[in-house]
Amino acid sequence: MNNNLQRSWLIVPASSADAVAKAAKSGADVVVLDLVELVRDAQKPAAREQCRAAMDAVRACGAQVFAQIDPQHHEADLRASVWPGLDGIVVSRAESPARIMAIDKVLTALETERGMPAGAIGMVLALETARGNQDAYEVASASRRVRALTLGRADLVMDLRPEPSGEIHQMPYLMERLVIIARALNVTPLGAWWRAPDRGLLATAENTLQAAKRGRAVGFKGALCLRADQVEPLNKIYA
Amino acid sequence: MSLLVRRSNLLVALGAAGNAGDTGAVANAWRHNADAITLDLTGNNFTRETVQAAITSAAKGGAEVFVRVNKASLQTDLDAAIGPGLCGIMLPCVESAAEVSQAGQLVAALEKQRRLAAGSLQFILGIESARGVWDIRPIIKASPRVTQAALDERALAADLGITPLPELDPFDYARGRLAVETTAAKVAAVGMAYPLSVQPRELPEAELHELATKAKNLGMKGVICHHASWVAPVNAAFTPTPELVEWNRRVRVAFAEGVAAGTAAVPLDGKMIDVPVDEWAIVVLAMAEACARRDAQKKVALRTA
Repeated sequence: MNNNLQRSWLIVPASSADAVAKAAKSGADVVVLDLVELVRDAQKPAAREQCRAAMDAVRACGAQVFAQIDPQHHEADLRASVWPGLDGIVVSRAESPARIMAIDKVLTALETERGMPAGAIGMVLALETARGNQDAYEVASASRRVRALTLGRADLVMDLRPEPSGEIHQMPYLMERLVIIARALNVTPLGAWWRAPDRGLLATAENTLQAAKRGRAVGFKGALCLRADQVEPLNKIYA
Repeated sequence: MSLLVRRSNLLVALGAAGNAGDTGAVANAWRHNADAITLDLTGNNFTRETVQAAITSAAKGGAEVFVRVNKASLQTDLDAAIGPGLCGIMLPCVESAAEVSQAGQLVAALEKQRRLAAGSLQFILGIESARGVWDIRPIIKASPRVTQAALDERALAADLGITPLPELDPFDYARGRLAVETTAAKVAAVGMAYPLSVQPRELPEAELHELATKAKNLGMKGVICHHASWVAPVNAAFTPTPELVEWNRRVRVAFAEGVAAGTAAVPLDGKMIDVPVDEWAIVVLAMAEACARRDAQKKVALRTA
């Protein structure tokens, strides 16, 4: 496996050893160990505890490992996930430059504390809120660690509806804007052009292929996904 | 009301010395009735004499003449381009306000040296990258010379590393940003409708007219014409039709009568005429007059050419 590619980013709950083991063998270029969206609050302490072992399981299969963290609980999430071997973090609902700077600081401290090269941990920002999108350029400029931008689940977070056309209203605007901002900052735009209802857990290999084709044509260079069967079409289209 | 009428701007490469084909394109550029002609110096060898001769030739049909310079050889290119008969400079791939104001200073020095009116040379800014789209606001305000900002979607696609799908326009946002920011800054947006914008080529006149009309309806005020065949349909699409002029004359009369009778909303042929409709009628009629004046100027120039 070419370890530099970042075509497919498969998100799995860090708390589920089974899901992590499956993701590790899925062929995904990057496995994202989630501590935010797919983990219930009650399970978060357990998910954090399992994070390091999950990371080792993924690395053993050759994929890159990122951890998705909650900017509201960034200290706990970063302490749980930043270990030698981690490639980066995904910041969900990123919206404040100050918070990104704070996260950057914690990363620097942890890199020193845990014997990792300075600046080794990269950042992907998921701009899922109106505020995050409004201030996207400033948020993404807040740390030199930022390597990629995605809209994550902006349609759900911002309640953007697909009725009646299937095109998710305002997403084309946000996607095209994100691509421009990412290129202006020389970071990678991640995403695919989804149409309802083919997204999230309703995605199939076929509709992922179509969403990725549209995504590639507007400037995205890779995409996040939730299901192992989406990996192959993403790897194919974002080659 | 002063309105800029620069519907078609025919882009021609100033050929390398001895390249007969390109020389022919330059020599014949004035015959196509373009409102403006831009001589493209990009990647070509030229002397000050060949550029000045090309400017004189291009102006024969009454077109405003611009020169598109190279970023890497800005000083040399400006030196070759600036002289009597030049309307302005097209700056390619503009990405910062600083480069526009620096170019403005270079142009000011040459205006002075060559006894041209200070501040008379205009800028058309080429917006060709994500950086240019994102920083459009400070860029277009960086110099009072800026009269137009032209979005080059083919270059933007290359900058983003994409091969767009004809059925999925990737540049609604970029074009919308250009239209809003230019309008606010009183600069004219220039561009063609998708998908011809990312793959400029020759098409039947009716299709060109349709796409140019679409560009106009998207907020563009003119088109950079990559082929001489674009000029006629572009001029037509950006000129108010006699029917539109006649309708707007009636709008103005009906509205004035309504106001005199004490109402600011008047029905006319099933449509409601109110203040914004009347204001738009003023713009349409002024544009029609400005286009007619421009066409008359070009006709006179052609007759004496």
